[in-house]
Amino acid sequence: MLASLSRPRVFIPLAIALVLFILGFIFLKGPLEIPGLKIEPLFRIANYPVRNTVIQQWLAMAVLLGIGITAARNPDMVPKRLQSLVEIVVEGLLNLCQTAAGRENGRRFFPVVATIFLFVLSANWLGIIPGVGTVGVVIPAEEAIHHAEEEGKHLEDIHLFMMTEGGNIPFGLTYTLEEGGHEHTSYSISGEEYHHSEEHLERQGLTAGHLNGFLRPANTDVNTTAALAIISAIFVEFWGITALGFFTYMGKFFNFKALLKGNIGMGLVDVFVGILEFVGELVRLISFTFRLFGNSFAGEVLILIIMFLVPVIFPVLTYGMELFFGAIQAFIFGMLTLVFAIMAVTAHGGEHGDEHH
Amino acid sequence: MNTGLVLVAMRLLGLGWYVAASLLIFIVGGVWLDGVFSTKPILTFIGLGIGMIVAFGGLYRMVKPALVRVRKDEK
Repeated sequence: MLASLSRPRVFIPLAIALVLFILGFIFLKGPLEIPGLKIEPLFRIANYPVRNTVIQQWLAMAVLLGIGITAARNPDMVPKRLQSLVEIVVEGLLNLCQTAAGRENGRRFFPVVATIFLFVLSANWLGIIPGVGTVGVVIPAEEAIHHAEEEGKHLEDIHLFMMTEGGNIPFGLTYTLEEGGHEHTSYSISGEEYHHSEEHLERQGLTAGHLNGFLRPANTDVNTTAALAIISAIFVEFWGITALGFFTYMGKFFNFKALLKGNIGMGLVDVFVGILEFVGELVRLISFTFRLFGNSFAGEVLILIIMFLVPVIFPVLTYGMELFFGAIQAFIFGMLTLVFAIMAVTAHGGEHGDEHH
Repeated sequence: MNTGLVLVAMRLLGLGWYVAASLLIFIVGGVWLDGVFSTKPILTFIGLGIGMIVAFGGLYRMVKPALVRVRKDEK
């Protein structure tokens, strides 16, 4: 490893990378606005607030539909590029479902599992194309402060974003907060600072505000992930009930048979196991929701921070990592749905049989 | 890829969540009931106890089939 470093073919690109890295760190610090958890609606359709994450979801659906329709329009026996790509993905997922759940159940679970996987995947990957979260409407400082104060925030806790009067956020923006004061390079300014130096900032051709992007990664909104988790849970319960019958399925959670027969020891254990199953079911919803949300939100913040700290070279690695994590998260969401579906349709005794051996 | 093993591993992904959530649910429940009946801190501790039992019971139930499966694969 060290020996190969001394070779010019390896050394020169590395040195250039290092120089760019350091220069970027010193001179090119990108804008840093950590996105909030609460998302302002962009507009309303008949009182239904449309947020940027919803638009991103529609985009993800449109991309999936577009690919699906284009690939299936003229199907060939010898598939062309797009068709064979779609076939590989669909066949792979179908095979996975069938090997895991058996032929019949696998075909039953496949549509939901595959839809969840593809939707989460496309939503995650669409979230890292350029322009997402960086192009949007600017909410003026007064309005942003007013909104935040209505939520009970103090003036010094409100973070505003420095920008030119045209709404651009250039690299290396500098400003002073007062006449002759020292220069700031930070992009973030508190509501209090803005109040004190509004006119002075105006003289420098600068203003502050909030950027509400037209697009934002869909899974950074907890509503999206909660909706996916609920859909997944509803299907799992539905499959469980249709496969085992309502009473057998509910017997998993409310098992009083042994207790009614007078066998108190075993009866209590059964009731306890019922509680475990029930808590497990609840926890699943929470973990599904927050695992995806947490990963996506953290990814978004990570990219922003890396852009702020080392805007050259390093972001490429981060983007690559996000591509990978996006795929992993989609796979996990889909596979977990599959796993719980398999568990739901397996009769109660199956798993116990394993445990007693 | 060993699909069966992946499925078993997937189930274990929820372990941490399960332990945290079951403790939290019962403790918060205990604190709330303590407030209602003004019996601070008895019900909170009872909640903690039940939460721990549920957490470890569930943990055992989730890990056991995974161990059985891994042993089967090793043979």
